[in-house]
Amino acid sequence: MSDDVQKREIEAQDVAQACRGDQRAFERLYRAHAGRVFGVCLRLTNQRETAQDCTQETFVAAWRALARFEQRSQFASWLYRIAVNTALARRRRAGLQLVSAESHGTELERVAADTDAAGPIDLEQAIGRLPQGARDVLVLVGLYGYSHDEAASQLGIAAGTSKAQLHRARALLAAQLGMTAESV
Amino acid sequence: MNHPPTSLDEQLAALPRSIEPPQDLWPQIEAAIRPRRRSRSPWPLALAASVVVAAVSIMVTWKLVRAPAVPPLASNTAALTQPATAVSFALPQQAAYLVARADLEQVFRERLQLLRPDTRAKIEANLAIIRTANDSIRRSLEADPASPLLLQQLQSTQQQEINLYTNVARNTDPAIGRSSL
Repeated sequence: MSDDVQKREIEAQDVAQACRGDQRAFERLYRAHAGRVFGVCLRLTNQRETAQDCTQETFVAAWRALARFEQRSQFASWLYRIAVNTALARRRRAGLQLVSAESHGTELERVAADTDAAGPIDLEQAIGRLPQGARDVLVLVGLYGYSHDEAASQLGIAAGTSKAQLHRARALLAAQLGMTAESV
Repeated sequence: MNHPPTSLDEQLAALPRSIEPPQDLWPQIEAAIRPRRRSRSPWPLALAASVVVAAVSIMVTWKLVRAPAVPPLASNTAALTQPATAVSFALPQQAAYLVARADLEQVFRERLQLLRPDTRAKIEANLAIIRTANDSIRRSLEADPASPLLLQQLQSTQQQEINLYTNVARNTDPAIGRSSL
């Protein structure tokens, strides 16, 4: 039996036990997924403390919703959906606003100018500097492998908008990183 | 030999998907999900509320099941010649409902005194509206005792009354410490 299969079986057992109220099993699930949950929350909120809060909220919400979890679906996907929703809801509560699409052109110039002034930056920083709409899609689709339909559904936008935002994110990242068109 | 990623896609693919939180968050999560020892007061309330809900549901279901889909002609004739039958409140379920509702109302009345006068006035006004609706439906039921619509409306207003009692009781629970309503 491969490691992956064995891991999945162990996780399925933990999920089943957690569904029956076993907190130790749920702790194991936390240990297995906390990093990825924190990662997606951090990239969506851009704030470490908020991401920590979101991570906690995600696991608490997951525990409370376990009774409704259908074990045929993948626990990890279900959990990450909760994490994304939690981070987005937290951000909405904090009153953070999406950058309007109209500002795209000037924004690109500003980002490029900032990059010239500040010198090279790493990719993670560049993602953090993206406007929210573009960053959301880049994080979900470009980093965490969501389809445009899934990302659009979670973000409450059209799939076409998701594609446009990804294109925009890539252009902005390239500008920040001083990349040529060929390397994008 | 590994080359450093050059294209944007390669760089994105090289980013870690998992980032460990700066501290272990499990203790806080565990504290949040641990079953809490609840104070004594919510239990009788919850129990009474559930009895009420169950009683109302049973009563309405019973009435709905008992009611013929299309009243036979004989019944209609009888209805014209005999006094209309009110909803039977002699049902055992209804008795349980009345007892549980009385308990809830007692707690509600006590807790109402903890609220600010303007909040109290609003809640009492809401209760008056619910009771007026309730009375009106009961009167209509006297004329049409088997009406599924009226029975459902009765259930709805009774449920609203119970919800009001339990909401006030919960939100003024001294054990939870919400007193600024």
